[in-house]
Amino acid sequence: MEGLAVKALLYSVWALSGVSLAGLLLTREMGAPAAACALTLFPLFLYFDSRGRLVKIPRLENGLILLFFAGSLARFFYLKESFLVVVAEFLILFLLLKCAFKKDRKDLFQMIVLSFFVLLSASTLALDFTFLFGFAAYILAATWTLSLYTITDGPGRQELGPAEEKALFRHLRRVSWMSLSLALGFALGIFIFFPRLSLAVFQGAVLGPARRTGFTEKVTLEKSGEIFRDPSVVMRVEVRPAEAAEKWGGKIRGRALSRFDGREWSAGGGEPRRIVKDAYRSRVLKTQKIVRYNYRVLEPDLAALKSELGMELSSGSYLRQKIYLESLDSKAIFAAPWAVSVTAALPRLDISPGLALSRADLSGERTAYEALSLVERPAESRLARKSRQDVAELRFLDRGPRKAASRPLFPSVMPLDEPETAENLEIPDDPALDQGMRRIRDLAGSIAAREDDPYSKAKKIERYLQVNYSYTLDIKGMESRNPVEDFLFSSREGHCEYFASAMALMLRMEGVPARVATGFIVDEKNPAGDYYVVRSQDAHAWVEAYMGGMWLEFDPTPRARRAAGGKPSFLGTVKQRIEYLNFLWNAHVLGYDMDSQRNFAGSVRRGSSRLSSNIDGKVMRLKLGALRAFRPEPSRIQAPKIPVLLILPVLALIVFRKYLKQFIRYITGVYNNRAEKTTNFYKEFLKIMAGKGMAIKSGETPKEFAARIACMDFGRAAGDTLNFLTDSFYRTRYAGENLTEGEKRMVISALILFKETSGKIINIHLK
Amino acid sequence: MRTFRERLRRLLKPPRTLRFTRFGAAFTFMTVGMGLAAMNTGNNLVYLVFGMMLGFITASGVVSELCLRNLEAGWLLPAESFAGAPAVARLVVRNGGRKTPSLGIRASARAEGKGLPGMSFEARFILIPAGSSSRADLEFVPKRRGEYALRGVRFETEFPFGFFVKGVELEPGDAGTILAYPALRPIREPRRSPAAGDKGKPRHLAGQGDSFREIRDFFHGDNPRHISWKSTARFSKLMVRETEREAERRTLLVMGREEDWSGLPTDELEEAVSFAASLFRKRMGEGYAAGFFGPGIRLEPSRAPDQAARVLAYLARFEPRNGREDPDDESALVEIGRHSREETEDILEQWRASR
Repeated sequence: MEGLAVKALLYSVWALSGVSLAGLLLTREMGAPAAACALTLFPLFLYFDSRGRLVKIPRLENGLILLFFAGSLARFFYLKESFLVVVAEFLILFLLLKCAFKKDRKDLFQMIVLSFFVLLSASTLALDFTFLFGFAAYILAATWTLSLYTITDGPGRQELGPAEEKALFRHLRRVSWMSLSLALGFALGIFIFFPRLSLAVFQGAVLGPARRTGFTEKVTLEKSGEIFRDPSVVMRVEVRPAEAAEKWGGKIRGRALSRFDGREWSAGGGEPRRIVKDAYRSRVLKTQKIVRYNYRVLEPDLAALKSELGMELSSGSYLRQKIYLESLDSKAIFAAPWAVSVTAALPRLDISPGLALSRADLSGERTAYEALSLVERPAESRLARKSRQDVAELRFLDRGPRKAASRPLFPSVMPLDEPETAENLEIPDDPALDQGMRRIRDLAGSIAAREDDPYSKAKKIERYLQVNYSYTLDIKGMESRNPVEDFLFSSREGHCEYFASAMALMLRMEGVPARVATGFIVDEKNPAGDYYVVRSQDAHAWVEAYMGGMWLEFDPTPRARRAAGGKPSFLGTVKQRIEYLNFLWNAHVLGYDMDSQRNFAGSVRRGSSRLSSNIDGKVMRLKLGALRAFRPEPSRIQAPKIPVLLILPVLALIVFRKYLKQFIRYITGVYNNRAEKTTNFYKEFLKIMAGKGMAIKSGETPKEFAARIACMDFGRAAGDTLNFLTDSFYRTRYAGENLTEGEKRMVISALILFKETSGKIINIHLK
Repeated sequence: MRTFRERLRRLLKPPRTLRFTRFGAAFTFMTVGMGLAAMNTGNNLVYLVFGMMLGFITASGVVSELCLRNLEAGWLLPAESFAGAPAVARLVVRNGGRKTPSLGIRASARAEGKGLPGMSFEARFILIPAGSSSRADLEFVPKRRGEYALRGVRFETEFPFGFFVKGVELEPGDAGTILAYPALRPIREPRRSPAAGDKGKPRHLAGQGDSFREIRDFFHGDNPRHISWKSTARFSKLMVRETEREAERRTLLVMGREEDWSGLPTDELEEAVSFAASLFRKRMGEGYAAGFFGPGIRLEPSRAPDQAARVLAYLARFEPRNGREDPDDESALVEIGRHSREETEDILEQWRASR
């Protein structure tokens, strides 16, 4: 038994370690070396351990642990790598080290503890639903392992036969399943009901890794060869209503870049508007209570929009977005252009002059929030007229102070003042670029006529670029001092940043304030969940031009749209389903917060009040029916009506009386089949005697049996007890008597005597 | 079977003890830390891990309770145990439940006597299936003679996860006593010892002895061991070999006055009591019909199988007290007087002579 249990313990510890490692590797946050080590060394060490070929070298083991620890410290403090990833990889190496040497009980216990920390590490890094499988598998393996570890502990253990060994493992399995259900039940209960306070006392101390995305805070025009299209998901967006979604151009805006030096676009100057909504609860600990706030970003002047642009806004003009943002290396808050409000669990929101939204919390961790954007745009004719009207009133910087063009249509945004206008009209002032800029200006002049209104100019330039230039991600050739010039006149191909830069520059040269906006373009919809998936490869840049008192979007990049319609392949469908599961995981598990708890509680309350009102209604109807039954109707002679309320209890009593009695008997311990129960002891006695080779013969009465074995040595030694048993059987079976408590105890002691005795017993006692 | 009220009372207040193991204390501490970490970070997966840990703690409590719930214990005590000599007691643990086995059970008990050093018993059971019993043979060595009362058996388990040690102590009830007889030692006798060949004289009557009497037919009730198989084969019917009863050799061991014993220092008293027990056993072993007279005991010479046990039990409990007068002293003297001087042996005298 000893060998089998210890072997089972060893393999279960291996299994536990394997499950926890698998859970950590499935997070896909581990570096390639750590993952490779785990995948190759773990099975190798398992193989050698199963063959008994591992040895124990304590000094080497301890030395390596110290080495790994020192390495991890260096990675964290000097290389500034992510704390959680460093810890996770250290745990992997530590666990592999324990696997590499021969193990005693202490080592097995250390592996059990390490595997727990590996699971904990996985919980801090996991981003998709595969964590759930590892979690459940870990609970099962842990209960099994700990149970085995406990029962193999200590000296003086009983010896078990093969049948008992089987029974032991069967019972251990039952215990494991029971513990799994209890642990999962508690995990679910805690998850649903434990209040999400997010104390954030040590906020910022423990951060996870942030994804690198195609989205950047700056746009640098450089020839970097082929750009890798990264399919990792950046965010998921649910949009409502469908009417607004049709008007939406599919753009998710992140940044507005106004400053251009000829190669690089960056955010403009000006202090961002800060909206702070929280307050420190305690100055000492600086605890914050994070709740959802609604931040007002833009206040459209509805009357002005209607009067000047003929825009009649309705609910279908506003696009509601629910955005599930992954952990990014950016603090941008993304939303469709013209974001009116953002509802998020953020203590502060910064709004730059370019209407770029940023969160102020320390981490770029994943978050979910809602945004409301105005997607309705004026008709082109109204826009053209409005922009022409504004031109007449615009003054360029070099002609003196600017006068406000027209009544601002978004009063909450500061009107385009002089510095901002200048910034968005600025052409790079580098003598080396002068020649190139002249060429670009000439080209802009040739595309757009001087008399054209700004809107028409913008549309012409947009169209020109879309038709005459091609899209590529592979920018070849030598670096140019003026990339825009090179794009427009030499290569004639590029990606969205080139197209946007060229258009923005040309518009500025035509006197239209313009800037480059960066974000994502969305066109991948997951039909399973009815949401849009935004990936890193969907990063995009476009142009925003100021005309008619508003910033309007223009996209000069020729876009190859995905083929509309067509059924996805089987693999595609499977991928969509998996992606949907991940979305549900993100939305309802990782994103489960206090609002979710309130909603859940509210829905439970509504459901229960609906149920109770249904019941009340039914009871009321019943009562009314009963009352009507009592109401006299003197105009007719009626047969007497038996009140319904009296019939039901009587019926219930009649029907359930049988079950009621059984229930009472069960509670008070009175069993129906008394005869069988009270004579079971004699059956047990016969079984014991048969085991000793003294079986009762067919047709032999208990008294005859007792007399027969009384002649034998065994019977002589325990003659009185034998007679007592036989008499007790006759009394209970045929005379209907009950044994007293003392007699029952004597019966049990007699059975033990017969089972255990070798004939030299003096006394026997029970509790 | 317990009454309904007893069961209800037990259900409402089960008598259990609970203490943390080191691992359990660390685990519980970590659980609290995990809860704080979950609240601090707001990481929902850490909430899941926190819930899992709480679930483990709960499962530990539930499973350990199920393991301990229906246990019963019984003792099979040795027929004889002597001070200073190892003996074996059998602990039988029964799981009275119908479905749930008991795993990882540690049973412990103590036997204590007034003024005697206690004895501890401990046994471990990996598995006690439902409705079954398991046994453990526990060796013990009583340091001194006397009566050791067995206290109630205590069951403990760390199963399933080793977080806590949950225990239940069964009511002692009539758990039983271990009567440790005085230690037996080889004794040197200054007085007579049976000469070689000096056996009991046959009396020409049927009975127990070595001398052959006759071969006769087997009757119902005869000991099957006495069947003479050769004769049975010859006569084709069961025949038994009958022996002649031998005259008993008799001796009466006399302890004397209680005050003679009470005056002895403790270690000499023990030595003397051991001598008395050893001498009596020796006499019985030599085939004597031995009797024993002492303060509070009068046993006429006999070769009955339980004679030695009665004397040893008496000696195990013998505690002489000063100034106690045996009201039957006089009649005891009269009874002793009926035996011949040759048959009477004074224990104290012999003991002193043997030293």
